[in-house]
Amino acid sequence: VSPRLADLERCFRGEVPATIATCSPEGIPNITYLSVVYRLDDDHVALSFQFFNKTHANVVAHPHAQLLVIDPATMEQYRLDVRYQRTETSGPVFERMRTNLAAVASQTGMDGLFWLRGADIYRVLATEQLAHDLDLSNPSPPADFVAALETLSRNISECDELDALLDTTLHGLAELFDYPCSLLLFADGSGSRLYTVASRGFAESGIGAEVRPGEGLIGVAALDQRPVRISNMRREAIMAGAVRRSAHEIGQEIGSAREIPLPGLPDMQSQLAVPILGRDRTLGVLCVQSDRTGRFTLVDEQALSTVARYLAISILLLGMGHAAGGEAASARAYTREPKGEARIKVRHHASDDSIFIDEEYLIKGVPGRILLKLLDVYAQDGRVDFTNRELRVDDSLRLGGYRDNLEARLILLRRRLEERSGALRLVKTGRGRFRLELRRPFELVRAR
Amino acid sequence: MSVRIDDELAAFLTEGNAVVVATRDAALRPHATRACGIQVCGPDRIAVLLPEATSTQALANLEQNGNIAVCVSRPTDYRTVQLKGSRLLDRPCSAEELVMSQQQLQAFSAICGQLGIARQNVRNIWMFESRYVEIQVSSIFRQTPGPGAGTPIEP
Repeated sequence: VSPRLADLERCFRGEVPATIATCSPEGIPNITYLSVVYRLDDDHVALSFQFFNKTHANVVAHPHAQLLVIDPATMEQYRLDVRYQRTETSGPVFERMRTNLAAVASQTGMDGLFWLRGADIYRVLATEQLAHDLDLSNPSPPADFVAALETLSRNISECDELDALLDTTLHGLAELFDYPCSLLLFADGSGSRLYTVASRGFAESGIGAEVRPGEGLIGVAALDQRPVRISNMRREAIMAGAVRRSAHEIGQEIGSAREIPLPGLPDMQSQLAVPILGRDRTLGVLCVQSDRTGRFTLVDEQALSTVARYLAISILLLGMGHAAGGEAASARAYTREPKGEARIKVRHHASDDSIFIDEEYLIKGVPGRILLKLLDVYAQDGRVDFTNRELRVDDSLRLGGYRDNLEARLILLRRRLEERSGALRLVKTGRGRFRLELRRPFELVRAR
Repeated sequence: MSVRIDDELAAFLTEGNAVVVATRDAALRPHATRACGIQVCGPDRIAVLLPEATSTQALANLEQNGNIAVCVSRPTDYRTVQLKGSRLLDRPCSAEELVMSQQQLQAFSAICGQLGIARQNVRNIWMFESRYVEIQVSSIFRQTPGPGAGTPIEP
């Protein structure tokens, strides 16, 4: 019985290189390796067309080709008789392939050289499993996420604050989906950067780490508003090195563009990054990582995309709740000057609103302005209790048109303070309320 | 085009890399299969071991027209070379050639091991009952992925 393409899903993850054989009209066969074969449906696959080469020239002239693909779990081999149909340079198939390639190119410093000319579409005429002489272990079937999605969506819907929403989501991904390593980034108001607001399962939390849209695996998912799934980062790095060497062999030099430092696991092999979309706006990116190759499949991509959609709706609903006045309006608790000899040295730079605490960088931008504001209020009248609402309407914070983003900034600020400073903290005291806690007196230095 | 397989290229071809082979039938339909061993027989001659169980079509194609392409790729850096030519002879492989196939499997497994692929899995793509196919090489190409892929390697 010929296997169906749908049964060969593992062969199309890009974990192990595939091979394509073609033939010129003169009868000269050609064979080369392919980085990845995309399965489109039960009868079609797409191959990336990046460089003009013999394979492309051959199939344009004579459309018959044969692929050799390998199941990375068992190393079973399959032959696919295919017939070239067309090259697409736009449309959903092309865009999906382009996004993944652009993400890898950016991640490996290969922008500009590593780009997709087209998606070559092939019709699959026949499949054949190759003989082998060993007993092969059968890997576990794909996960069924319906129950996990049901539980997580219920838990998410019960969160009435952004803080709880973020923690509930990442906790749920670990416990219900077996994604122990995850991170969540939010886009800032202007959309010029993404900052890490929550993470789980990493040695360093990375809270506050930034990624620019369009840069690296995460940034491209945000910019293109499409999932980016990588199955074998080691292979991607080898491929980037090979392309550099290939260019060198023919006298071209590729400037070594900057490789993007990736938040998360130092030996990350698999990553799935899905955009969190509020209508057409990118609110952020939800990302899971693994040090195993081939960890995330199409099923994982569908499940995580669904979680991201729940998350987006919940974030937007929380924002509407603020607008409807569902949070505390005022808070007026005062405190005495804390005792202590050594003062906390807080330095604020007006140029970028960066804050250093005891000469150690803490944060910049809007969260920096917020902290400065809180310290100023405290210094003036001793007040330590604050509400989100008073900050949201405070023009001096210059929140612009993105007031719904305030919660994320506060969470970021609070978590950075927890990590970096034991002496100065923000503590939640209720829904939309928090308290500035000072263990020691502080001294504020204003710099340019 | 003149070709010469120098010592450096010969060492690369036989150090235990992935070897795949293309042939074609009378209707110019291409066929892909995996070789489980490769040998350099002279400055313009190589031989590949094609497993009988997976190479029926390839062997029939070679009998019919002799056209063959052989692609050798190193998994750790994707250095890749393609050799094209025609079949000179085809016979059962000898005991010595079987030992060579075994040694190349071990080397290939070690290379794949660096990439996290288990040794027993690599064994799954290897077969030992093979035909020895000797090839007259007429052209050699760089095939490392990138803008230089497809350019000829000339002496």
